[in-house]
Amino acid sequence: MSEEQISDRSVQQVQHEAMSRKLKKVPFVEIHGGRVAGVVSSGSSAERVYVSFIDAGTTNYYCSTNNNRPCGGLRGGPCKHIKSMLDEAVIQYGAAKVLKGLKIEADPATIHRGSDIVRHLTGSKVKEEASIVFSRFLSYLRQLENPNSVMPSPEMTWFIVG
Amino acid sequence: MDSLGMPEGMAEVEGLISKIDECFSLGFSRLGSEQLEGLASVARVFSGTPLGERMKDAVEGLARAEFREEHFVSLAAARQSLQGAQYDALLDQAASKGVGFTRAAVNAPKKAEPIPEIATWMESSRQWLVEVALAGFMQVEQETVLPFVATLERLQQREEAARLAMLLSGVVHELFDCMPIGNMVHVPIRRWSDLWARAMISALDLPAYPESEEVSGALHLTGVDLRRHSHAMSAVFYGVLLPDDGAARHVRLTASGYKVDVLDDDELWQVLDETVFDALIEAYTRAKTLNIKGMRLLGSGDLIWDSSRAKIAAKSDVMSVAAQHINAPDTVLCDAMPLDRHPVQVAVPVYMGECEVKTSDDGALMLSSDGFSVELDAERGFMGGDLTKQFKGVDDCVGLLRYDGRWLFQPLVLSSKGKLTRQGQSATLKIKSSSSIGILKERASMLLRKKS
Ligand SMILES: [Zn+2]
Repeated sequence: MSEEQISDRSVQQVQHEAMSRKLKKVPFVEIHGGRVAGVVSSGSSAERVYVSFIDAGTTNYYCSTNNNRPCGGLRGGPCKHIKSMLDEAVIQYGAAKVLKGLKIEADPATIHRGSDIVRHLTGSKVKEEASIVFSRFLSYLRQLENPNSVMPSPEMTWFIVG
Repeated sequence: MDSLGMPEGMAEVEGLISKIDECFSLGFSRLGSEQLEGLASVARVFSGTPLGERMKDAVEGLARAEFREEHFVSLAAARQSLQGAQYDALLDQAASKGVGFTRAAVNAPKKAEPIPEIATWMESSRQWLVEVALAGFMQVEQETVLPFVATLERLQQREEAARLAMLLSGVVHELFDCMPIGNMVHVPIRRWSDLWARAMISALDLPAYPESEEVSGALHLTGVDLRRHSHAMSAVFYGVLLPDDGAARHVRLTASGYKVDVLDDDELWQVLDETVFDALIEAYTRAKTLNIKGMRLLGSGDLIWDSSRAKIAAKSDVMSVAAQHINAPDTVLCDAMPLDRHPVQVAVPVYMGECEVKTSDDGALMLSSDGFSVELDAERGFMGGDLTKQFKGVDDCVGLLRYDGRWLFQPLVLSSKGKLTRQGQSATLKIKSSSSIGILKERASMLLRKKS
């Protein structure tokens, strides 16, 4: 390890700051576990959401409801939910991170929105279990239900961005 | 007030800490004779101290590839003790150079009673930390971290474990965010070793607090240190308490909550419960004095917020209270609790009258007032922007003297012709249904309740 690889400050901005975005249509999107995955609101029912994801490398994709019903829009290519998810992923994480998350070789400067990534998808519809994505979304929601604290929290002094 | 430098003995201690950190970087399962000799030299420094025997056992054990948890706890304790000594030296230096305050010592609190269920998750946390230490930060991968996520989610659900859970959430997120770590340009080994050691200590026992007293008086809030990572925010309000009797005191109030990553700086306040924190936020944003009656003040200078013991009163003239009291020699500044003593916890409030900002030859922004000069901390992103611009036209300001390899100044409040600029000054706790939190809460009520 070279000297300049080591950075000595204790308190520094290491984490990336996610960009804030409108959540109405796509309440959740993440790059995690070899996938870009998200949860997309249904236009017709408040209790139904679509779970969409694209695997890194193969760029195989799938979309289904939270009750595991396949999405009707997957005939002949990615559905509108997958496109919306990609749009929001590009806003939240930036094109470079999304391309890296999908292992797609493309110039981030040519990606302005999610549909620009759709052109690079070479995979096809492959039915896969979506419950992991949905349960990660539920634990994301649960964060906001966790209790507040009024006690001193010196451990948080190390964290200055996020 | 004289300008500050590196206290005597600091460099030697830094050298010892680096020897420990090198092992964390490489991984304890892969130590060579050079690293083991480094650890032995750290152990020798402790011989004859209460940690002496433990450190000797730890280093000998690790040399035999005996990777017991207790050895790692000893290392964390040794590291912490070195940094505790640094903390003392830094505060002594600030005091001796004429930054006015009266230091008040705080005793170690009694251990907290364990809660069996949480104790199990704390034990899993320590086991995970040992795994990370064995692998070494440079080798940490998804597979090292993923198995710990379920334990972490359990910890997050218990208020008693909030401190450890918020710390570990930050660590876990940061490691994921930085993968693959081998590709990083700057690997923050010092920082990660700090976080590891802190987490190991925090995972031993539930947090304990020093003795407290009930205080009454007028509280003037100066500014906020807004700490946050993707999954938690913790606002520390700094203020001057003018008690009904006795000398003025530097106090802090903490308000923390879990959050999600997409919130912007305005929205993240809304993770705080309006029914609990409303008066505090209102007093702060409207620059009002808080009259407090019988509020709990810990020996560490932390006021424990209780809205039933606070009343919003008249306008607070923050800058004149600051000018008069912040660096008065008899204003009380409490030490950090023994387990918290660490250079990053140095936070000495300073008032800088008639201040000016200049760029030094090596590009650092230097803030000076009355012959005292200190580097502005650009890393902490005060008000999310450009410090040169923010200090334009500033007459006086209040901030915290910090130390992170060198002395730094973290701004809390800037005043320009009576107009204040401070973090969170437009904070509101009201959640609009169209806001990110509003939408996520609505989703949660639909999907979480239905499921359970
Ligand atoms: Zn779909």
